[in-house]
Amino acid sequence: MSPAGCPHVSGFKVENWKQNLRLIYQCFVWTGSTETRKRKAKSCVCHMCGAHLNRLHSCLYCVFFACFAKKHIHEHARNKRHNLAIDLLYGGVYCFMCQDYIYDKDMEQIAKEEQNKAWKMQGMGERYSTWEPTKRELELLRHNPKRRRITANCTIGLRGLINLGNTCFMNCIVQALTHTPLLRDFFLSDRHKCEMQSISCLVCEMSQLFQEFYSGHQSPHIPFRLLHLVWTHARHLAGYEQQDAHEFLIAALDVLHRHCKDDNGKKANNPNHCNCIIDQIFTGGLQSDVTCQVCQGVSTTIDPFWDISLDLPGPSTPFWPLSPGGDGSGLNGESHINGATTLTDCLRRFTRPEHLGSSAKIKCSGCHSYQESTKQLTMKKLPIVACFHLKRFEHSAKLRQKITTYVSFPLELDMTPFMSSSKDCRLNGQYQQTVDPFNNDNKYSLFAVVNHQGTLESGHYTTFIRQHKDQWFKCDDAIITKASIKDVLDSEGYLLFYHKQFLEYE
Amino acid sequence: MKMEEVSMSSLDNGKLEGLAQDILSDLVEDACLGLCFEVHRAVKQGYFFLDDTDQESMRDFEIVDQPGLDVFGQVYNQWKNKECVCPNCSRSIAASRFAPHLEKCLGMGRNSSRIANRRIVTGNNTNNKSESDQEDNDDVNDNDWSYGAEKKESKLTKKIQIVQT
Repeated sequence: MSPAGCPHVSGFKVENWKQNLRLIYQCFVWTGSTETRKRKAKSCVCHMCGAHLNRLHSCLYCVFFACFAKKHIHEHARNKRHNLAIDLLYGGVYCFMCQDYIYDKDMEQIAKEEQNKAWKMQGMGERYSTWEPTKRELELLRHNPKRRRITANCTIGLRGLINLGNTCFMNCIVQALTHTPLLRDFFLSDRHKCEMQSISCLVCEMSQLFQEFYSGHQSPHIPFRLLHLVWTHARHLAGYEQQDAHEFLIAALDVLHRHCKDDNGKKANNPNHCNCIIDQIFTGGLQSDVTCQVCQGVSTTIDPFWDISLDLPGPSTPFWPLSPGGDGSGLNGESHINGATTLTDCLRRFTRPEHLGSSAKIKCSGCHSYQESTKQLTMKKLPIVACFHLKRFEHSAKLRQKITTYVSFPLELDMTPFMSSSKDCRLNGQYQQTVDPFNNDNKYSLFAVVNHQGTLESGHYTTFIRQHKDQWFKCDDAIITKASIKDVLDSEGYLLFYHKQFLEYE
Repeated sequence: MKMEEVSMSSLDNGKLEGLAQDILSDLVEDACLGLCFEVHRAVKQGYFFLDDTDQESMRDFEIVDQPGLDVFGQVYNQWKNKECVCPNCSRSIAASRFAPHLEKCLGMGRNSSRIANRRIVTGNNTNNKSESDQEDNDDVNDNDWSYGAEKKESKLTKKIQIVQT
């Protein structure tokens, strides 16, 4: 079991062996270009039986391809005393003396280099290779057999948060963020390279937070440094706004985004095209189309967004009627919906064409004059994590009350009807096409729900988060308990976090 | 012997179906082989055991689902005496009172400016420690932590009055 391979490779490692080996890898194993791939497909057949599969191997001493399954390569090895052969699919080296695949450090080094080269040539960027322990690390691990492993029934990743004095508005957001899978993966794989002073970097503190959550410690964490950092970098939070969890989320994302920008070498050149992890995960594009009622000319703008704020049916808000014809203007604000309002209803209302009225005429570049128009919002680009904010607190509203209307929200959400591309498939807000079951682009899964209990004057925030596929937990400051899916779906809902189900490479 | 190129258009649906099946089973077999190699290498290089976990650790971290206990099996509300060190003034503060302390320490919020102005106006020259004690006493009955927006306005007017005198 020597990492240096086997003693029989020394016979191979003579003269120009490195170059020869590279050639074999380039031509017959990791084919990087179309020509080499075609050549491999055509010429790599068993010289004895003509098979092109059956675990084809190439002799390392001469030009001979033979299959492993029918032992043709073994025959060749015996006849010619050529003891080494290479598997053409995965590049493993087989020693006929040892009768096993061997792992020689020098040969593996060459194999790895050639594989990376071929990968890059095919336009697939850097090839990811899993971590392998060094000899010393292996020794240490053997001597220390206690392991902390994340299994389906494990508390690792869960941790309570001490309330620092009505800071549940911060705690509930921290729970949602630490359970955002992509964010967790980013920080746990140490992807943040800090170029600021670490002590004042919120991203570093976030990274530290993940370490705390995955440390296995069961006592609640005290997020005082986090609070200090957010408040020093987002002074506008002072005052009564600071208690709103939604405000805190946006402020936190903004500070993280600012501190992350230093990471990618993009020094605030183009704030709209930042490629930091926050933008990659949370930023979507909202399309606004203003249509002139006279010439039907459309003026389109696309704005980035981190969350979607949705109006709810309330005493002063005329809501979207589902009856055909009419867009709700002139109606007296009663909900036409029997049964509970759904998140989909709110989204339909959000993306409905809205007549702007004669007091809000838009200057039309087609007509060169002020005309009445309709405006419609749709999703141009969906973020990986979509955050829906149900507007339960209207500070500017005449009635200063919390809107406690129950809104039912689903575990799985298909955003297709609300996309810009689906605009023409809608009639009176109803999506006319049947949802394509094979189109996975716009499917989302719920993973966190922030709830507010109480009144506008005083209340308390808690979060439901999802661990693993369908285990839910309630995070109430320092107390983490198991919750059922029913608990989650029956809750009022204030901030809803959905995660894209299928991620694509760009 | 060599492989030949065949045009796909010359094949009927049946042949294409068969080809597709062949390719699929080849891919599945290749994937299985890949997995075998991974395991083989892990065993030979001696790191296969890394996946193992000990029973004791598994038990330590098992989720608890019982009334009155959190997922760690701990009783609720035992975390009363936590403390932390303020990054701004380096004093040791009770964790549950850290936020109101920080608000004043950083000079944010309504109360901080009110107190600062009072200091200016009355020419208070007592030392810093009693200052902050005063501030701490102030927030015993604090109503800051609510959505009470109406308070903000009156304090602002008061501040202006103080500055103007």
